[in-house]
Amino acid sequence: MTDAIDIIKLFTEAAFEADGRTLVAISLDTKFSELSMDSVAVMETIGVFEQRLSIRFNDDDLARLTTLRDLDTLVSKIVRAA
Amino acid sequence: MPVSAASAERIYREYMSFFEKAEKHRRWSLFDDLPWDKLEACPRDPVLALCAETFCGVEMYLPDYVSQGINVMRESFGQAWFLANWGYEESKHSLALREYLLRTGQRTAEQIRAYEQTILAKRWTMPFATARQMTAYGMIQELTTYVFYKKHKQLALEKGDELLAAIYGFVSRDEIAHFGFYAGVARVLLEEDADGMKRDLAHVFRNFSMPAYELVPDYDGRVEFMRQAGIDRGAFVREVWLPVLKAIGVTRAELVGISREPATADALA
Repeated sequence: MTDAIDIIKLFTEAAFEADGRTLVAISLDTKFSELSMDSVAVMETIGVFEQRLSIRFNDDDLARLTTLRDLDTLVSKIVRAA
Repeated sequence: MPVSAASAERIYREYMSFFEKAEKHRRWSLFDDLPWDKLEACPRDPVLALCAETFCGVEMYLPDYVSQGINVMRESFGQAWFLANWGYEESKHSLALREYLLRTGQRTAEQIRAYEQTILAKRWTMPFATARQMTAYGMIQELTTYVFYKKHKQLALEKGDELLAAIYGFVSRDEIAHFGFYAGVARVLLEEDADGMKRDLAHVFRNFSMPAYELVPDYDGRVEFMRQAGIDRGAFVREVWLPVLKAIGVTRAELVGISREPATADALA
């Protein structure tokens, strides 16, 4: 998991803020398709996520995300590069 | 609340630009431009036929799409005239698919008539209330339809059906042109009322589903086959959501924090 960034906690909070959704029992291996969120809600959640971390994902990278682990890896990459 | 005179003029110009390109470069004839000489070589593949029939069924709701759409857009000259032209183009789509099914012998005239009666026994109703929301919906729906047809064209080619691939090719070219018009109108509406348009866009995205699919008979049984060349979540984001935002100059960040409620229902455009 990304150092000092709790991806699961942050994503859970972002999902609540963006979509009013309470996510329970999710892990890094949870797929976005298993979250009962439509693709737009997932993108809005990621938008909140970006805002909180003050980072910006590349659109192409975003479209390839499948699991929270993918998101974690992407955040690590961006944080390392910063 | 109608749009300003300046915006109405720009929407009219969008339509004239769209119409000029359509008249000069995009028109195609069901009779002369489709490769009917490939008819005998078509593979008679049940999956391809079922998918063509399903698309044909969705296109058959044309009377509902046009009548309801034109009523909500009638105060916007450019958009109302667009819908009249759109109706002509969409009518060719269902005719081409219908003729394909008949001429290849994959459906009989009786089967087509029965299908048509079942289709028209139900009515499609507009999924959103205002002209501006329907503009956002039209934009998303046309691009999604384009992506669907493009994928099914590839599937038809892979299965050796050059005739059906050609039909999907012409149809998808029309759909992407329709998307271009809606995107142009959306840009005008964004300049007119950025916050309201973004709220409506977010609302429509959140509640978007493809038109009439749920009305097509036995859609649950068809969906498995349609998905052989369908759009999953990732593809929707990559090929529809992000390109729509890019086309109208709205960033993902701008949609964050947008109200979950649509703009007022009396916003006409």
